[in-house]
Amino acid sequence: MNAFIKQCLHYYKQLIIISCVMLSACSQHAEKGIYDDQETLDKKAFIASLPKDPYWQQDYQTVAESFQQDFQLALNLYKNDELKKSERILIKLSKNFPELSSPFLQLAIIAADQQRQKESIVLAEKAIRKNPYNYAAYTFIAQQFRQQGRFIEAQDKYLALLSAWPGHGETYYNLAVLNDLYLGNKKQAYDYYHTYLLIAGSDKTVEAWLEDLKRQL
Amino acid sequence: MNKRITVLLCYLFLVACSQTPDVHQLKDLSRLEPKALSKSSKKIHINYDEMIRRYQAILDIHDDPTVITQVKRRIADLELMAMEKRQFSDNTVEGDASDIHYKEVIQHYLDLLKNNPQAKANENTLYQLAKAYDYQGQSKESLTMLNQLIHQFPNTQHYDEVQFRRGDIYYSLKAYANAEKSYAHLIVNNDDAQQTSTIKGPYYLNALYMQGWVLFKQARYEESSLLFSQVLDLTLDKKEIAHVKPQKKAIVDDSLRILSIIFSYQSYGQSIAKLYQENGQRPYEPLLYLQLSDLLLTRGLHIQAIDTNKTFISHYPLHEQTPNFFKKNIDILQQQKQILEYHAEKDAYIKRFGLASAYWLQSSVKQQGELKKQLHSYLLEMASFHHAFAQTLIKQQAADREKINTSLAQAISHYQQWLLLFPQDSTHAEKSFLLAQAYQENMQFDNAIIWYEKTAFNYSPHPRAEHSAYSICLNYQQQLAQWPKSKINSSQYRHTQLLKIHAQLRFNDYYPQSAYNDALNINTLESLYQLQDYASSSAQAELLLENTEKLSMDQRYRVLIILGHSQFLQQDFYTAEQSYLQALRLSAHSTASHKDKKILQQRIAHSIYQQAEHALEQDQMTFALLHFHRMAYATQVKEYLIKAHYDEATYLLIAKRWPEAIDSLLSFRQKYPTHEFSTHISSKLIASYEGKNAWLQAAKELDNVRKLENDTEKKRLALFLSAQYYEKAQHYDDALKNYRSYAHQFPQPFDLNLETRFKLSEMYKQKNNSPKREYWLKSLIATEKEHSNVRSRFLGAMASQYFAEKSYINFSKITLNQPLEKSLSKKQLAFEAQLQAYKKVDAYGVSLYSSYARFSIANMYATLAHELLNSQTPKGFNALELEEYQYMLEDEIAPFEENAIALHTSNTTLTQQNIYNDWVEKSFQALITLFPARFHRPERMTIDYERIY
Repeated sequence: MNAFIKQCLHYYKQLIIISCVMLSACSQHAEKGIYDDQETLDKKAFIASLPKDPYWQQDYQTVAESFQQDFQLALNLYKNDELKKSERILIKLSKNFPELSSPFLQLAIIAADQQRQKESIVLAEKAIRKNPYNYAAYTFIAQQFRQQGRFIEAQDKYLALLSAWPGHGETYYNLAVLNDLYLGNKKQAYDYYHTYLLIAGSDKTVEAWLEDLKRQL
Repeated sequence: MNKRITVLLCYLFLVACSQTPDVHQLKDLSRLEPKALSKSSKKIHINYDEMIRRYQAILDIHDDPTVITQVKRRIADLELMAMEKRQFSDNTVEGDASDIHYKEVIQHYLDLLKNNPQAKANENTLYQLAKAYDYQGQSKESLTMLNQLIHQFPNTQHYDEVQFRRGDIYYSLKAYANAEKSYAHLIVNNDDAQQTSTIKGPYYLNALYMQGWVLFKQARYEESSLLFSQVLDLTLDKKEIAHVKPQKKAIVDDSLRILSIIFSYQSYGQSIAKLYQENGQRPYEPLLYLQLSDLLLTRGLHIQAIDTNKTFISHYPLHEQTPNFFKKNIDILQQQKQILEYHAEKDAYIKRFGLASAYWLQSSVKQQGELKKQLHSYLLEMASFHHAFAQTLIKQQAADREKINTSLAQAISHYQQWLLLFPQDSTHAEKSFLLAQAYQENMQFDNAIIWYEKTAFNYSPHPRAEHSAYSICLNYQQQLAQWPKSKINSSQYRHTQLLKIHAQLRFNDYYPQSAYNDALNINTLESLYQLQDYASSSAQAELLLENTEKLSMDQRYRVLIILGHSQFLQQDFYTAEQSYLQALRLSAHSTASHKDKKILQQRIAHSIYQQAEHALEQDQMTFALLHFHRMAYATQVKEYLIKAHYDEATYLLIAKRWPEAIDSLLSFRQKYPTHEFSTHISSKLIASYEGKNAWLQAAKELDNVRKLENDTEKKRLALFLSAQYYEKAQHYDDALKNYRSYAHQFPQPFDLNLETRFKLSEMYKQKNNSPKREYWLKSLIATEKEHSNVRSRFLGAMASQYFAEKSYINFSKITLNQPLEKSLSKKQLAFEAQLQAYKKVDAYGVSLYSSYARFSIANMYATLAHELLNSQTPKGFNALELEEYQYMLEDEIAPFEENAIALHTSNTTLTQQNIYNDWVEKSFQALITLFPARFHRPERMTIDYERIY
């Protein structure tokens, strides 16, 4: 398992380098404000070259049914705003199945809801340690940071997610919003939106934002 | 036969001479006479009468005149011999000799001469006749016959005898010149013979002797002394002077006697020396010196006698007799009771003849043996003398240490020599002891120790052994006592200490029952302590205390003190304390002074204190506090009571045992209000109150400090702290009072004053006292204008925000009613006023309040736009007019909305400076509504629960 992760990491590093080069190219074009077909083709080629989600490449073990049942119960309780009950079940699960990531993320979400921000970040980090492909945990932490005004740290967390899997389109979207509204890096935001759109395909809202950004640039 | 007669004659003659000089009347020179010469002892038993009768019978038979003459000559000779026999026989009764008359025989000889004048035999007849006259006491007739004989027969066989007899008769007749000639003829006759003295004529020696006398009688002393010397040369054995043949003893003795007399007339010993320097040295010179010395003594000339002896000594320093001359002088001085000289001479004797002297080294074993006999007594006598003298001076505490040292050095030298010379002497150990003692008295402790060691341990048991062994210890002690203080820490000093201790312990082993032991053992203990060997000194002290009955109260007291010190220095403070306590109990029965007891109490206190300190070092705070606490019960030493009390309070404070610390501190202040430590009590009390959260007491204590304190700075701090503590104690009025005082009294330091003002504004806010709050908020605004920094700007902005918030009501309370112009005009005025208020807040440049100001302005624009849009419509408008009116309003409010959006947008750009606060967040929220196309861009988070396991 460890050997597999090492191999994947090596591969992802290479991809990140390619991705960065491509993004840089995009940003140069953005300065020009012109996209010709050839460039679009290149970007498509880039998207095509992105690796598959490594999570699914893992040789993971089957999760016990009892866990799944209890976890679902906790989620339901959470949805019903029965946070304490949900939390108790999740704590129990985290102890009984310490190798699993999801109870920790869910505990982090509950902690944040209860204004226990510091604890929530610690729990989410723990979730990442259990499963480095728990992209929601990265996103959760980044958004916590953003809400606290820790924009750079939020950006770093998103980038860390992309290190785990450069093909996570939603993260490009989030990075774009962060740069657009909070960091004031309009050009960077433009690129991220653009990459997001390449990965996600059609998104009318974001396309409109992209046009808005072009005006701002 | 004739020779025998001659000898006999001489003998008789000499005996007669010997009776003349009187040694007791030496002043009369003329009365000095030679001693009798030796006589032959051979006796021949012949019946002369029978022989004469037979020769007379021959006369009756023969007629031949020649025969008759011969027979008559023979008969005359026999008659003379018969008479000689009678006269000199041992059986002759006194008085008989006087009855013997030689007249008849003389007549017979005279007849023969007369009848045979030319006869050759007259040589003998004259000789016999001279003898007969001599026997008859007719010296002159005898001399005549002798003169005739020498005249008629110059080569007579009796030449020496005739000359000798002539000399004798001349001498007796005091015809010294003729006597000298006669003796001189004899002497020359013998000397010319070129013979050795041993085979010289029988009269030669006597002639020399008599010639000496003759010259002496003529006061020709030097010539005389030479002749007597010749006599002695011939009579004394060169090798063994003392052994004189009996037959020569008289002449030797008399020669010596007369020589001594001669020298006594001259320059005494110097004359002897001169004589023999000029005429060759003689083996018998010692006899001459001795004789002369004796003679001078008999005359009462002691000094001259001594000088004579000294002359010999100086001329013959290595002579075997030299020691005797020395001794003789010593004896003379003793007799004369010249004590100083007597002792000096004995010292000189020892020096000159003692061991390792030049004399000793050249002496034979036999001579050394002789010397030893004398040295045995002299060495002891002089050693004792010098030793006693030095001891007397020491007893008298004489200041002349040099004299003492010199005497002791002499005594030491003599004792040492004696000990070397007489190793087998039964008193050797005793003398060894005395030597050691002398060394000790001379402060040569090293040597004293060496000799005491020998005395104590190198002999079979003797009375001085124990004392010697003890003295070793004392000498070490004295040696140590004289050590220069500057070198008292030297390794040598320490080594000596160890040696002393070793000696003392050895003494204890050898003489366990000795009375010295108690003192020594304590001394050992003291030494071990002084050596800083505290483990050993503790052990020794404990050993001594095991046999307490042997120790006096004083000794026990001392032992306990040292034990206590040793334990203390080994950091065994508990046992040290116990030992000191025991010593203190004993001090009542000992000679310990009041001062000693006081010191002891101090040591006890110090031990307790050290136990506390030790516990602290070991992080045993509880034990340390116990020790500090029990000090109050264990001692009365104020210094320690105060220190321990203070430390107890301090460590209770450190241990955060606040209530106890407070009690202890208050008690200290009560007990020692004027002690310097009391000045620190307040700060500790305050800290304790703080620890206990007893803020009110802390604040009151601070008020107390402030009142008593003269230092402005301390007053300032106390005031501020007390305000804080009153606040914590929820005594807000007191807190406000002190804060207020602080704000007014202490403008510096500025920052604290600023905070105090802020604090006052906040506290009044809590008390809902707006006027007073506003007073202090205004003061913050005013202060910022005087002294602007980050904090003052912040607080200024904060205060300005308060007033901006407060004035907002002026804007918000104005509702837009018809007629709109009128109400709008008021609203606009209020808007402008409020806008200025917000701008003031923004002007401070504090991001928090600037974002507030911008948000508030934007919000005010939005509010105005909203109020305008929703304002009361004019009455009387129809639907179209109303729609127109609404459009018009929308156009009117558009700039307001744009301003609002611009201001909110401006606020959101603060995030690019990493500024993100509630007002920024609110601007973001506002923009979501005002400008959703750009700002409603929510983050996304997709949670795929199936894959996050």
